[in-house]
Amino acid sequence: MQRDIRLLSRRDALIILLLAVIAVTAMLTAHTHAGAAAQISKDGKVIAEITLSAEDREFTLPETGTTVFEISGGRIRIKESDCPEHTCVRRGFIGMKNETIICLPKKIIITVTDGAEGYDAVVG
Amino acid sequence: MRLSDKARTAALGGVLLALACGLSALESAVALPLPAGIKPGLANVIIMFALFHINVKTALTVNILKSCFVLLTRGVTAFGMSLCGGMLSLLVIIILCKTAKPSLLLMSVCGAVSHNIGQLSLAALLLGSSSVFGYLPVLLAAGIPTGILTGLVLRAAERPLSRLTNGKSVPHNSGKD
Repeated sequence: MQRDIRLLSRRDALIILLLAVIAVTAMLTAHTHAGAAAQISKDGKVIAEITLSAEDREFTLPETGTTVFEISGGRIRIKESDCPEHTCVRRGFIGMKNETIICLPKKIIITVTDGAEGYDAVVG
Repeated sequence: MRLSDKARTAALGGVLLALACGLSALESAVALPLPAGIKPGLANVIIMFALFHINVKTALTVNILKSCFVLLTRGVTAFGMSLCGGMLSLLVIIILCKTAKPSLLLMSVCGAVSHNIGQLSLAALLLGSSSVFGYLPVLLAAGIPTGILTGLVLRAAERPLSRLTNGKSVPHNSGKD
């Protein structure tokens, strides 16, 4: 392949800047309002829908084994997990609508939703 | 290609593979305080060096074998992520390099961003859910600083690494790639 590639040209700096603007705009507009509930699914099936406004607590679910979920201040996180990389734990708390936590090895997805009336079930 | 050239390319590929595996292991051992499991992707420095200063075949080989190292050390999920991200990233850089010939930093940024997109696509496939693309804005934004970092590290490391190639370019592919 080619050698002696220029580090940066003016045109490419502008392209990178444009990409950065798009990314930051997408980040800022994607999650603008707080969600009311969290949907937890495992292997593609929804296993729990939990309201985030209820009191702070920690819980586990039978379908997800030792994974510990924590709700605090209207947000949710995975507190403990026995997956190898702990990427899901390091993701931290989420609480804005459409934010997600994914544990790939255990196929767990948490998605923050608006929460539909009458569908909120407290599981614990 | 003379035999000694072949031997030298193979040896050099081995050294680069060791470097790539070392950097990859270091990054997964030292969990940086970054959200969403974001890593700088320093092994990409080695892959890009292989691509720009040796040839496509070496870059491809180092990339695949690095993923095999991930398979042995971190399991099958991490292997899939590594392979999917790495291959898409390399493909994008090769296409850019062959067509638009952009500057180094743009190539490394595009490489980092496409690495993230490759991983996300595999995650969507494994989970059977498109909700993972909610991560896209964060990973897009993360790919830009990490891409700039790997590009800068590559520029700084090119001279010392080139000593491995004896200062001169390792026999260039004879029009094959």
